[in-house]
Amino acid sequence: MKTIKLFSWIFFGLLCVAQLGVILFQIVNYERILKEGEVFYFKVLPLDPYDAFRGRYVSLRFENVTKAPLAEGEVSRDEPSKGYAILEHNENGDAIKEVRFTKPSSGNFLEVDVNFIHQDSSSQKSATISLPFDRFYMREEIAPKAEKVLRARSGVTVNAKLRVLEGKGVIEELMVGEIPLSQFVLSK
Amino acid sequence: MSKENYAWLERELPSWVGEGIVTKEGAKALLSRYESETFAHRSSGMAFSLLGFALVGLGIISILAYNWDELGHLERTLLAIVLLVGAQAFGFWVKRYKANDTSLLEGSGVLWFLMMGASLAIIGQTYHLGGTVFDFLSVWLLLSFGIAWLLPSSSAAFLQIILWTVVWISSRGDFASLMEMNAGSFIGSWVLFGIALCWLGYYVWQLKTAKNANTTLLLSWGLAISLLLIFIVEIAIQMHAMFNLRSTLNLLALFFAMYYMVGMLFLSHGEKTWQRPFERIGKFGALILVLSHTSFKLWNWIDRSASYMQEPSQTSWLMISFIVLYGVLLVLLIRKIKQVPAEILVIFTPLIFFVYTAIQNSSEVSAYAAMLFINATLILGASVMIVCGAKEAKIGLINQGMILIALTVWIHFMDADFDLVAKGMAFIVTGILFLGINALVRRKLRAKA
Repeated sequence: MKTIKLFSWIFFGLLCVAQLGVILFQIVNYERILKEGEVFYFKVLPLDPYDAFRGRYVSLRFENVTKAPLAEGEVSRDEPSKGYAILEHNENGDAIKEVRFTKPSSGNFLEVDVNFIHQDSSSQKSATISLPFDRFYMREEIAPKAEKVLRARSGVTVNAKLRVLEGKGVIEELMVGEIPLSQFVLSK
Repeated sequence: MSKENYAWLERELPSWVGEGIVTKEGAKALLSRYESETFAHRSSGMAFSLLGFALVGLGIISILAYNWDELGHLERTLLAIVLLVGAQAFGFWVKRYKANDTSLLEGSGVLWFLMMGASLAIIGQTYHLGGTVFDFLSVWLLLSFGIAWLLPSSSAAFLQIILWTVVWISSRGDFASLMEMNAGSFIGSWVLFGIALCWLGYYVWQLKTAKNANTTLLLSWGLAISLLLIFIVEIAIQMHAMFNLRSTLNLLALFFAMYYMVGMLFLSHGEKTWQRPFERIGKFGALILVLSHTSFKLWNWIDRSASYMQEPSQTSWLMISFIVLYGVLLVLLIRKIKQVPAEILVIFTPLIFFVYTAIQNSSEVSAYAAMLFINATLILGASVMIVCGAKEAKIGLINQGMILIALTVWIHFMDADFDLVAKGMAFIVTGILFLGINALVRRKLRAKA
């Protein structure tokens, strides 16, 4: 009986540590990315759904970063798999240079889902990818307003400000020019 | 035993000991035997305690879902940690110092379970983590697994089986595509199966140690709802893959009859309706199934869609395992009750539907034979209920039989093209007959008593 009680307390402690460990690991990991990660801006189209547990968010549809050339020497895969998008800053803004299946040892890259590979008439292979971000949580009353404002003003461009470090990324803010989206919406 | 009966026993026992009817030790044993049951009956205090903890937990989740953007990362992450550590510390305090207070143990389990979800929600919200709501629920399930065992808290186990069911259903890719949902879980089927086995271990432990406790009854309701939902999902997937209405009817009939028998044999926690989850769900499902096939209009619809139906595929693994299990349960039930059961209609629903679908498939028999068969069996089954109810002086059973007959009559009356006044008159006449027979039976039963 004493042994069972002892084991029960040991497991109690282990469960507490595991639960707290997962939460702390996530906090440390994402805070490190936010602090040390390289900043990239990608154009997005926000929409407004709802999550019962985490609240209102804008769903993000990334533009111009869903397709990228496959790196030279990479062999096509039939099944969807993990890949790495190599990011670069260029004169037209931020973009994905190429996609690889092997993890780069350095530089700015992001882990992505490679959905399929296709080949054009000039034998150039390109990969259709999904970025690991699909939502941005906002205050309950701002999210629907944001969608409304953005739909009404067709000229407004929204960029997702991403922080990327060692293959992982976090959305820091949604920006309209230099202003965060929530401030832009409140000012309208 | 109710509190009043226990108080009466407590008053009477000293005189029984004095008269030598029971020994002093026997009297003590009797009191301690019923003391635990009386304790289990203190349900209202427990229910309010659980409701309180559940509401506080859900309230916190709801407030956090508002997404307070005034709070920075530091405040949010601290909040996530404080909520989780607070719930863990409360659980520790209750387990260490209030281990005999069942209400607190149960409530702390519920709070801990909900705060785990709240912490994960804050982290997801703060860092805008992607993925579906099912991914979030899967992480929650994995991290809250064990809370029920460690405190122990059956209420946390109840929440866990509900969460497990949602994750299991979301992991059934065929169902997700059928419902056009963006579902799926990163937890493999074998891990989910393992979690379910551990949960069943906890359930068996509670059945052995506190079968009559309300918290164990809560677990039975959780299991009954979970199995029912999983079965409906599996049936929907099968139906989508190969539309076969007759085969589905046979499976449903087997499922509800088995539920009823499992409830009768093993999983009842008292005499009241809400204390018999498996039995009630099984009975309700079987009777609805039979009643829904008494209508001639429904038969016409089935007949018109006959081109979509094939012979019942009794050879599927699900059907074979159901038939074997049904047979085993039937033998066990017959050995236990050793007489014709009053609710024979529910127990024999699968046999009724096997014959019903066989007649429907036969081209030599008249088109209306299947309908007449199911109507006749329903009337016969309801009559058995009324006769048994009269013999055993159970007014509830008599009423059940009468309701079934009345519903059959009403269904046929609705089938017919009578005007509203005629239909209204039929309802009034049946109602008056119902009330009259009830009053007569009550008077007879009182005279007998």
